[in-house]
Amino acid sequence: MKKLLNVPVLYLMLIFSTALLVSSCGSNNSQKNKESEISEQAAKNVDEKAMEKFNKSKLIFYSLPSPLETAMLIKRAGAMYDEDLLNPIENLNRYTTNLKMALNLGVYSADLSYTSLFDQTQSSVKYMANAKKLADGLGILNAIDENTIKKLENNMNNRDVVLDIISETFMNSNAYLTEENRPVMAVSVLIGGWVEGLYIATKLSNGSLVNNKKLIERIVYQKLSLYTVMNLLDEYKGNKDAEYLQDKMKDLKVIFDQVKIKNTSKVEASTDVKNKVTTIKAESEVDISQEIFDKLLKKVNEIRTEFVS
Amino acid sequence: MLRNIRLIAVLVLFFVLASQSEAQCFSYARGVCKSELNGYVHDGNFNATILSEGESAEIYKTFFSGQEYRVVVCKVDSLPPVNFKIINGEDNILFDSKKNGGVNVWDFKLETTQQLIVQVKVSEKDKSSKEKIAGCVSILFGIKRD
Repeated sequence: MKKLLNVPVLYLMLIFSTALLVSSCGSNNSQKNKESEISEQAAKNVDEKAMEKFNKSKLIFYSLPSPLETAMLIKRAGAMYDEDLLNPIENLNRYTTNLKMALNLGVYSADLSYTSLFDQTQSSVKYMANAKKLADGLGILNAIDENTIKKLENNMNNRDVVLDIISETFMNSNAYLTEENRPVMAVSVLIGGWVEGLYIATKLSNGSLVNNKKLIERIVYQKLSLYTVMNLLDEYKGNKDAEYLQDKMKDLKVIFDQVKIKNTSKVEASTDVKNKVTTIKAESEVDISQEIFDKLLKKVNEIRTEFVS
Repeated sequence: MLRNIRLIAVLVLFFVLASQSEAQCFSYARGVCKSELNGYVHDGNFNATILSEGESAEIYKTFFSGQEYRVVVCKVDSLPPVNFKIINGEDNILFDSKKNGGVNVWDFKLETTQQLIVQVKVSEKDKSSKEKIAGCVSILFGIKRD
């Protein structure tokens, strides 16, 4: 009996040791040749069985505008900063379920991006701290640590570094949830951030279709991003959180379906080989009535209120 | 009992290795690919997966007018060349890396906002071979800084 027990225990220990060795190899790369080591490991440890998961003839991914990109779009549309639009810091304690934590990690990431782009440094630190607490609550290890916040505080006057920190923390959370096989949570973070960006943009429009046409254009073209959201959620049918989000997005789609966007010319590309830049040319027309825009504002406000409550 | 424990052990090893492969894909995307976005801020989205020879992947994304984008397509050294195309919903090829010296980094801008598809395909070293090399392929997008 003793012998029988020892063999499997040793066997298990050997397996775990191998696994730990593989694991530690992945995290203890020296600086020297770091790039090639990472590259080799990424290729070497592809187990044949693990490959089955990926053995499809074509994989399809949908990429939503990240909170950072959305905030950049708002700023570049010439919109102003309005702190009153942000989800208050003190709302944090309301979020106790995984879904609420994920959605509001996205919401606070969008607020963090917005404050940072407008150089509201004190607010940025507070929103980063909230994002950290939600990431911790979701069990996202090391996405945002104390050093991240210190680094943010130390680089307050360097917007490029601040944006890189935000981008890095967002990528860490996104990758962690995806790799830990929690894709619905990863999608929820993205949707929370996207809805918050849309909410800020619609509020900044003051309900007018004419005040800031560039901002209106940004809002209207989110119709295309909404299709991306719907496709993303379609992949997780049967999951109750995904179905809840799908219902919300369907309400939004009913309104966006009444917004007309069409290319009025052929989409053409002109490539500058020397400078490695391609310009994609097309003319398009957008048609949205004040009535539809009002409905859109109301619905975005309703969904966002539900997310942050 | 011994058989069951062996089975559990093999399964544990399988899951550890599978998660390691994916985790290393993230390390690769962050450690190697991101540096090629130099001058552009990474949008923060993580797009990476394991592909083998002959496989392809597509990523759908809305690109906005007024922004300048950089796309970086990275692959581990052991994989044969990976080509990428940027196409629109009507299958018009707007950019083909193969026709531009097999580059893995390209910049582009748009006059009007469009939803585009970035299509990546891993070429095959030997089409008749049953053994296919697999490895991490990552697609990252950057937005030009002010």
